[in-house]
Amino acid sequence: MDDDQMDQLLRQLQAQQPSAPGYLRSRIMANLPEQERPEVAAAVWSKPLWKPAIAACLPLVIGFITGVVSTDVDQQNVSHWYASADPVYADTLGDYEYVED
Amino acid sequence: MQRAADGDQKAFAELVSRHIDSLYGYARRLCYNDTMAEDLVQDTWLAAWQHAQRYRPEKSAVSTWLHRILHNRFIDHTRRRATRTEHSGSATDMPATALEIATLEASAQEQARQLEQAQMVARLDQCLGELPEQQRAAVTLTHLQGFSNRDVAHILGLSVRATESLLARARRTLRERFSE
Repeated sequence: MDDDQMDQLLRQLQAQQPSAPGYLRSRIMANLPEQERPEVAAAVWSKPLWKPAIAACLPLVIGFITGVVSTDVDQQNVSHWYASADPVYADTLGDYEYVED
Repeated sequence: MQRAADGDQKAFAELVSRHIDSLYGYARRLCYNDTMAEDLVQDTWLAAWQHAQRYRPEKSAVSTWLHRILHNRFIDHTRRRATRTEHSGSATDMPATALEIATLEASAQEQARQLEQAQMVARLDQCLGELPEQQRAAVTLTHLQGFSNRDVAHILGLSVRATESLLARARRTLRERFSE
């Protein structure tokens, strides 16, 4: 038997490939268990939940950022106020010109 | 596949319908036993359902991924049993059916030709069943399931070069056994 003849026979064998029995599909679908997925990750990343979760967190993130910026500005204002009022305190801040008598 | 990974049973049922015949055909060629083939296919779909989120579309097609699962399940199964399943009589049912069809539909001359052809196919089927497992898997996946050498390599867990070599060896063995 040469290669061509074998290929021809294999093609005929391919045409005779059996189909799966009909009951096998039902058996497979009837025996599906719960999928093995981490509960929390599955809940967070399931489509109905992740968008509302991000939406809920957004104000907190914005609030945190704006809070940090305003605190920083306040701190600078306070530093200048102390510098002008108290030479000793101002010295520790490093922006007071100390003049000896 | 993504919907199936999200637990959508309807999407999974569509996948089953699309690929079950191909998987069953491969399972039958691997074990030559209807009951074992059905169990193997069911095990494969169970694993696919439970681990659907591990499927990576960039690595392989769904069909290739499923055949790889089935192949690994078959190896596990045969290792557990440590005995090779006998080539049961059911495998010769297909050529017998082909023979019956030929008898009914063809003229006497055509019938003789088809009879001879069907006998040759049956003989090739028998020789295929007698090949070592890896060689049988390579021939089945390439010639009966229609996978490329690259996909066959992925399913069998071999390099493409090793797969080509395995396939050439399998064809040579098949030809020799057929000619005996």
